[in-house]
Amino acid sequence: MTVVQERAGRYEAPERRLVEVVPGPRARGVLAYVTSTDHKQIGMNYMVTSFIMFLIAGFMAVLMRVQLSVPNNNFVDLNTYNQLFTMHGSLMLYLFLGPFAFGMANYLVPLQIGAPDMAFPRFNAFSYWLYLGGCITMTSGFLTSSGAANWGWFAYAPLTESIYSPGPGADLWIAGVVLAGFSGIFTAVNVISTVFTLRAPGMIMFRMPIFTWNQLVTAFLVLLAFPVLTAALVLLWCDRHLGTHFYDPTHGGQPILYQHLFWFFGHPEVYILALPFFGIATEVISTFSRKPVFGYKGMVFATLSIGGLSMGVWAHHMYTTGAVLLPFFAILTLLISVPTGIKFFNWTGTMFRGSVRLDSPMLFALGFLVNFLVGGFTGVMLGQPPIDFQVHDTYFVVAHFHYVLLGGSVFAAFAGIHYWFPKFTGKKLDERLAKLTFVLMFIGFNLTFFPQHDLGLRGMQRRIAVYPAGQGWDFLNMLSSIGAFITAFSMLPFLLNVWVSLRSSKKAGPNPWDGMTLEWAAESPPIEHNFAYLPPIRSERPVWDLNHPDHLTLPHGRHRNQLVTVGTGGTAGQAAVRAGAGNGGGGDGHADGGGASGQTGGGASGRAGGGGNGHAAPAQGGEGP
Amino acid sequence: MKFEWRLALGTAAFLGVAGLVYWVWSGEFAGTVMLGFGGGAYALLFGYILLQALRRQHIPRVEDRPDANPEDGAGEIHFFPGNSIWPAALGLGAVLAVVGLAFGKWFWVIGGAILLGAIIGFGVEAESR
Ligand code: HEM
Ligand SMILES: [Cu+2]
Repeated sequence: MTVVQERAGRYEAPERRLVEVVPGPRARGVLAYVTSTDHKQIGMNYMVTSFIMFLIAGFMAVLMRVQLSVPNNNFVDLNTYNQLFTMHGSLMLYLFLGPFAFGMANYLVPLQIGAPDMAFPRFNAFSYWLYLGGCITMTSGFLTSSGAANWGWFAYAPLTESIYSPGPGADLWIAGVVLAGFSGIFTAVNVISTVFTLRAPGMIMFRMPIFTWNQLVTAFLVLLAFPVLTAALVLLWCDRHLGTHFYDPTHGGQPILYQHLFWFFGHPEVYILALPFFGIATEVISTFSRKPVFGYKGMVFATLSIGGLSMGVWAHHMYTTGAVLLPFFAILTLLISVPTGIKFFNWTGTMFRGSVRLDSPMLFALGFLVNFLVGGFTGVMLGQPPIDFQVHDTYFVVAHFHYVLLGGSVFAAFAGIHYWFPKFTGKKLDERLAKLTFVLMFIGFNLTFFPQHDLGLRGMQRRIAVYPAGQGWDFLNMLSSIGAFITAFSMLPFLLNVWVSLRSSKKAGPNPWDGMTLEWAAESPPIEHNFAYLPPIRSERPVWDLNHPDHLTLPHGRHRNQLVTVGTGGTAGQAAVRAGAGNGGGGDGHADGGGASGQTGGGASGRAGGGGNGHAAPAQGGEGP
Repeated sequence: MKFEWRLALGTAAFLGVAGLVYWVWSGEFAGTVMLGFGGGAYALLFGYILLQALRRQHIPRVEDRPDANPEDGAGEIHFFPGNSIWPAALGLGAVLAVVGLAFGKWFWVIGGAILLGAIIGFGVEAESR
């Protein structure tokens, strides 16, 4: 692992000058934090702030589950319950999961492509401050006399008209979403510009880590979706305050128009909340299987087609309005399951015949796979109008989206936190506490939400605060509430772990997991402007290639030969595959043994030595001259 | 830059085609307009990147060359500013102005004033870089 450091000298490129102007003296303390334009600081700000939002919204969830644990309960009153589910959903979606992904993008995308920072650092800082403002604005709705918004996270018209939902809490919700939306748009602009213009030499698009690819596609979705949401909310505000009637049916307005605008944002949004986390899972699975991503290009094209298709399925949330073209949306929705299936196939393919290590990040990634499979399955069911007509707005839907968002994305987020924590802080999280977190979270989560499928099929509607006894719902609800407590409890070992690990003096080093992508070539945490040196980039795993010269990554499309090693012949073997990667002929050469070795003189001895390495494919290794 | 412009072109084309099919099949306005405008927006991005790519066609960028080494990237990369108070000031002004959506004109006045000051400060700083 320290190999990276030992070789550091060889690739130093001091000629690579950054142009930097520091106005005035260097700031210190709080001022340093407020004035920072470093993508790592900003990314950290995003992640920490959004995690606090997660804890607040999770606390609201526990309150709701207390209310729902027994029939005819009155732990909270009806209006409070409405505020709770609205703010829980809104905080989770607008202020936690999306911004957390943006934080990850901020921190990791420049590192993964070898850039010194984001393309527009000050703009980047600005977008964080907008987001922080959005958090404060939206949650402060609870402090107003009429309470926070209580219209659900998608704020359907005409409930949102000022006669039905008066009070500043509602407007603060609008303001908060608008602010978070702009911060998302600016981050997307930054991610796209950075990926397009600041990659390191040799980092062609098809060598970028899958995480970066997914963040790029996410950014494309953000640019399409968030402006529409902002427009929809501006029209809503005009209805509420300027006497317009865009969504007001009593004056010829159209509530359905709001639904179209909202879901044109809303569906891409759920992929904005999923794709970055698919990326995390991909990185983690690859590292902990010690193999390159299986079907790298297939993975990229799957992400691209998921992104594309998700722009054309918005009205599957509106089937029951009776006002949308069912076949168009049902077909496109079904089509999305194809690239998603490809992803599953590739994740399994990555693990297949790899040497899988079950460290905590991998456990969370496996949890993600299982949970997301369930959520994806119910998603395909809900995409069928006949099924959706039956279970729309029941707990079946609540179970579905928690499986996707919490079981899928949040588990992957935890995989990412545990995986990159050493990179972010220089310290590794304690494995025992991490595994405890995982076990509690996995059991708690499934106990909370699996019974809700059944509750939905038994007809329990979502967004109800009180239900009568004797409908066959009591036991399942109690089970679900117990699960919620376990899930909430699982945050304790996690927070304890963060605290303990930060205080420990053990250093993690630059590459504790034997990671493969470029961020593991940087210090932990990375120095200002990230890299003192860069390894040569010849594949999508530059750091792996540097640390394992006897087991280099072969060019794409040569997975057939993946298990052929080029021996431990040191630089000779390395030269052989370098040549192979360059002209594309060497890769084929491995398959037909003798033929290729003639091309690359030194390679012959290297390949002969390969037989001794456990990974060597039987036939080809032996056939060498 | 080949893949960059293809990405934007692909997105624009997908949205355009989807918009057309949707329009013919459903005749519904809102979706058609959104798909159409989305396609148009990405077409603009495509055009811009394509122009950039054409302008420097003869010199492939180091990040587009599969065989480039770190040394090949020697020289100036990009301008990276140091610490700056203006993003936070801009943020404060913008947030106050948007909170005005809930609390009305005083927030617009104060937020607008801060915003204006921050824009000027930002501009002066950017000039003096
Ligand atoms: C311990 C974890 C969680 C529990 C116990 C929980 C529980 C709940 C409950 C009880 C509701 C209200 C259902 C209803 O009355 O209709 C709800 C709604 C919702 N939750 Fe969660 N939740 C959790 C985590 C999450 C996460 C991580 C996300 C997203 C990232 C999320 C997103 C939502 C959304 C979008 C709604 C819908 C709000 C609405 O109806 O407007 N939840 N959740
Ligand atoms: Cu959807």
